[in-house]
Amino acid sequence: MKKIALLFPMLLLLSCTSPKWALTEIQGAKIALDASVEPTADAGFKSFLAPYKQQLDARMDEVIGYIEQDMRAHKPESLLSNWSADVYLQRASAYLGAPVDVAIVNLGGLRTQLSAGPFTVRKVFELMPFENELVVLWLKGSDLDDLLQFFARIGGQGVGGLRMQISNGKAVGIRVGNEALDANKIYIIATNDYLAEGNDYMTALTRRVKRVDTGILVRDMLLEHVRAEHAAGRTIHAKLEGRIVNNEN
Amino acid sequence: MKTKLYFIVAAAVLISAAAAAQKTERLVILHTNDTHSQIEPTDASASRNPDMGGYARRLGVINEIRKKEPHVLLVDAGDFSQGTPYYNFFGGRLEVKGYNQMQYDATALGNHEFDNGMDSLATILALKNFPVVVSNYDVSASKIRELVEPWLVVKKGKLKIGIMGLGVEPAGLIMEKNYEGVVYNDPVTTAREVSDFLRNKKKCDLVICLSHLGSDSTDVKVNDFTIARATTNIDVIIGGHSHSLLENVTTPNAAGRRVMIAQMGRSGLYLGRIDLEFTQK
Repeated sequence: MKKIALLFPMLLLLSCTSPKWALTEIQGAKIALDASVEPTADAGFKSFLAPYKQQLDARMDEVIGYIEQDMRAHKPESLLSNWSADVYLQRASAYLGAPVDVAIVNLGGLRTQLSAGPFTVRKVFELMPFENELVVLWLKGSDLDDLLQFFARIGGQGVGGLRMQISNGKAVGIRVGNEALDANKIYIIATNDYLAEGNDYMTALTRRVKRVDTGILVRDMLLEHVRAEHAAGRTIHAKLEGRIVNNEN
Repeated sequence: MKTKLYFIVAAAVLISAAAAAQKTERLVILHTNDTHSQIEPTDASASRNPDMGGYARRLGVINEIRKKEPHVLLVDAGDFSQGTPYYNFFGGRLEVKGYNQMQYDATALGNHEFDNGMDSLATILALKNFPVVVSNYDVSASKIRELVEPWLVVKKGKLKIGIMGLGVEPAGLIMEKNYEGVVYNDPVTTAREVSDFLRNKKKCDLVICLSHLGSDSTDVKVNDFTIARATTNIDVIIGGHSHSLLENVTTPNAAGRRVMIAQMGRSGLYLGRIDLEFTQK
């Protein structure tokens, strides 16, 4: 009888040893945090955020212009990158008092899309949240060609002042302004300090022969541009005009 | 006497059979990545993904799941910083305080965490009450040396969970002055060493890698699939950086076992949920 009384706890003990667990089932899913889950939204967090939100909204909700069409950044050429590159070209030319040939922006640096309608200060912050500044570079044609060959390999980037086609992973038919790219000519390029330092794999930009830091924050440049266009009675718009055409698609 | 003996044996067998049936353990991993300061829901008038995300909704949904599930692990694969004016005006403090309130179990370190430089990063990380895990950055000579961990072991119920983190190569991506003192080590070598350590030395039942390398082979040389295929001891990779939407994607590891790679796009529009079941060996 005593032996049998021991059997019971022993069986239980056996089942608790070897604390190793093997993963047997795994299933992934996504939960959309859309308006349908708003009823369970945490009220405590909303009240925590309220004073910060109030402070920010006062400044961010100011309407400084109007966007004519939806604009996004994508390869090979996009409305948003064309618009942005053109603002770089204009502002850098005004800064230098001389025409700038080319603008280079990175698609990944255009951090939101724009929707037709009011252009608020908030939208500019969302589009350009980084503290980067406008930079002007003088770059040899052969180095510009290297950069554009890289753009061809990745399927496109944000450009202004030039046109090119992508064929078999190579940039062909490159034209700066109205002329074919000259490997020996020095071109003036508007970009920002992030790219000028060769980030986003744009190492060709570090081979510049000269660099001028304007001290103008890109975000401030965009804010001023939108305000100026609005004051002149113009809306914000852009065109797809074959700056980068991918012949492989 | 005999009847009594049979009864006791029968009861013991029944009870141990019941115990065997209970020899499973459940875990729910909730995950986010690249939430990019989307503290409020997205603009309701946006043409794509309007009125989605926001911390209050995320916290509400997390709390509902925590009520129903005994073991929930909440993790983020980095880039909680930068993207809305909240970051520009409050420098990341609100993001960290929000993550504190959501009670994250761990986060990785994304490249945008460095956007305002090391002083700023150290200041906001000092406010956190969750661990930040990065295994392949040597931070010993940097201002965040006391603020990040190379790996982590957490217990959820009976499960021992090892967590490692992988950061993306900063050169060419982060302004050089902004990551002063951080030394980048090869993520593949690190992933092998740390996951083997967590499994074999720390005896973890589950090894999770929080990765900010990206899942997209067109943009980065070493991505989450590279890591999965090069290792034998990672079970789940929670990815980020490439803003990909990956649910229920698996790839074979170096030993031919499936590794799950999960990523939830960007801005916290979605909360990822992975349900796992374990059986006692």
